[in-house]
Amino acid sequence: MEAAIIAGAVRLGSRRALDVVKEALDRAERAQHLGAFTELHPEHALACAARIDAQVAAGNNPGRLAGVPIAIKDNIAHAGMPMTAASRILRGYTAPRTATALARLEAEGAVVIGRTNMDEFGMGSSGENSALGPTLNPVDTKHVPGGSSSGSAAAVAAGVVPLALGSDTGGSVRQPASFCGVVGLKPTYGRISRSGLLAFASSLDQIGPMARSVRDVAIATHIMAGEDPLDSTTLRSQMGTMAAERKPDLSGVTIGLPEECWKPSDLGDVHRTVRAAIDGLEALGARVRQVQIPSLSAAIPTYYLLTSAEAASNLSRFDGIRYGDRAVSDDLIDTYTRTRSDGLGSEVQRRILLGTFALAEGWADDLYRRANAVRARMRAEIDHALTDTDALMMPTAPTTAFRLGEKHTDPIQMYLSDIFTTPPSLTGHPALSVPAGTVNGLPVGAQIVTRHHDEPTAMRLGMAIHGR
Amino acid sequence: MPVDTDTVREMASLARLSIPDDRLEGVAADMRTILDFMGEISNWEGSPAPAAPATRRRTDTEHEPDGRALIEAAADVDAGEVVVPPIKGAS
Repeated sequence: MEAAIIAGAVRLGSRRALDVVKEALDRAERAQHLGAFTELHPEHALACAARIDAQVAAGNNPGRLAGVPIAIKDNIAHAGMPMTAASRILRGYTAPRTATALARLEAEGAVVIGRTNMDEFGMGSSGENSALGPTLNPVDTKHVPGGSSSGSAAAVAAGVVPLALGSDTGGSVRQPASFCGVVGLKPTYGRISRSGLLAFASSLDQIGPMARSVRDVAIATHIMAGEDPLDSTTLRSQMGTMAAERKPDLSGVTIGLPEECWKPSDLGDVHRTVRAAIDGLEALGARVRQVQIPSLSAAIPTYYLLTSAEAASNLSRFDGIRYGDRAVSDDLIDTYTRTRSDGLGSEVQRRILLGTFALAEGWADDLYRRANAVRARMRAEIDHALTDTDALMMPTAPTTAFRLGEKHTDPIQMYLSDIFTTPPSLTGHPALSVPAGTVNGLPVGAQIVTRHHDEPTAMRLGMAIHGR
Repeated sequence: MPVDTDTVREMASLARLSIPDDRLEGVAADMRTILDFMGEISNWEGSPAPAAPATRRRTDTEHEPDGRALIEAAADVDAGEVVVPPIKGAS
């Protein structure tokens, strides 16, 4: 059931929040084989639900998400709860405060039932890089759910919760949403506060909602959006609204198809499925035209150079002194080194080494600074393409969910899973993934990229494709 | 990219990581493959970019931040210490 419908029923008193939350906790227990949760919080959730029921009984407004059970990725702070980012190095760490985005959802009555599994520190595209074990795709458990917000996507797709929070640095909300057949949004950079989100690559990281409907994603985004004094990169402007139309009149809307994402050599079942969804938008009046964004072909090297460099810096704080586990040694440098070597997983260590290399004297000009220049060029090219189009569309991922273990030993193939999702992350544009159909029973997502601040157009088109 | 076992050892030292000797060559080969792939970026030097148009804003409107809600969401402080809810399972 959709979050909006649950909240309406709780507000009207036709359903008790306590019952709704108990049912969600039962579903989570039954879905344990998916490995979607790192931890459930039944006592906390039931106490919150009881408070909401008391508010309803007293005639008070319990909020727009009254009694809606939600799940949050294990890199989003929730006061008094453990936060590990699925890493051994943060075993035993407890968050001292609640992330702004989550505090805003809780203030509207959302109830956190647990924390979801993920690729360690957000580094991965399959949900396999977790110290707690992989997450399975509820659609077909032999396949990965995508990553890094693997558990959030799986929890929503399995119907455990109607709404979950992920974080998206290069596609970590959209790609698992595509693989699991749910809706996921990476908002405009700065739309939602990053305060309380464990940093991976700060110039790209964004919290994003995942749900079964575009409407729920829109509601959650509206609640979480807005300026936050705890994050100086948040936007001062308010997000626009959209009409919830299933079959909107799209005359006057132009959709751009970047040639770099629609190469004749790449056109397979996934592209054909997304193209059929775009045909549906044309039937509602939208016009479609080809556009060129040449720098898209440099997206993966640019993304991995910049994020690895930022990660090498951001993760240097995890040395055993202030956070989580510490290896015991009489020597300070040895304490740092042993703590980090024992506590960080192999993919995280690989990216830290790459980032350190990209920032090293002698290579920084060739790699890091050049990647920043390409990033600026990409932003200008996408802005340019969006001057006479309203949205750009392409598949969210080049394939459907691959099999567990299929790409785990080949980092380049794994990185290429993000080929369509990394550009909006680098340029800060909003991007929505909506289910567009299936190929061999596995979901296919369509990605809609719009101008900065224009999430409503992405959601309007997404609702026209998804129907809810 | 010229990455050998000495390079890996140096990067690991800078990053406060320890790579066992028997894994150094494998990590170096891995980094060479990835950095060669990332080296594609050097093809982009000097390529002219189109002038960035002014960002078009549509239905956004200015608003005042909800300061009260933020303050309510902040943790309490008692004698200079942040007060957090009891930790589940803690004694």
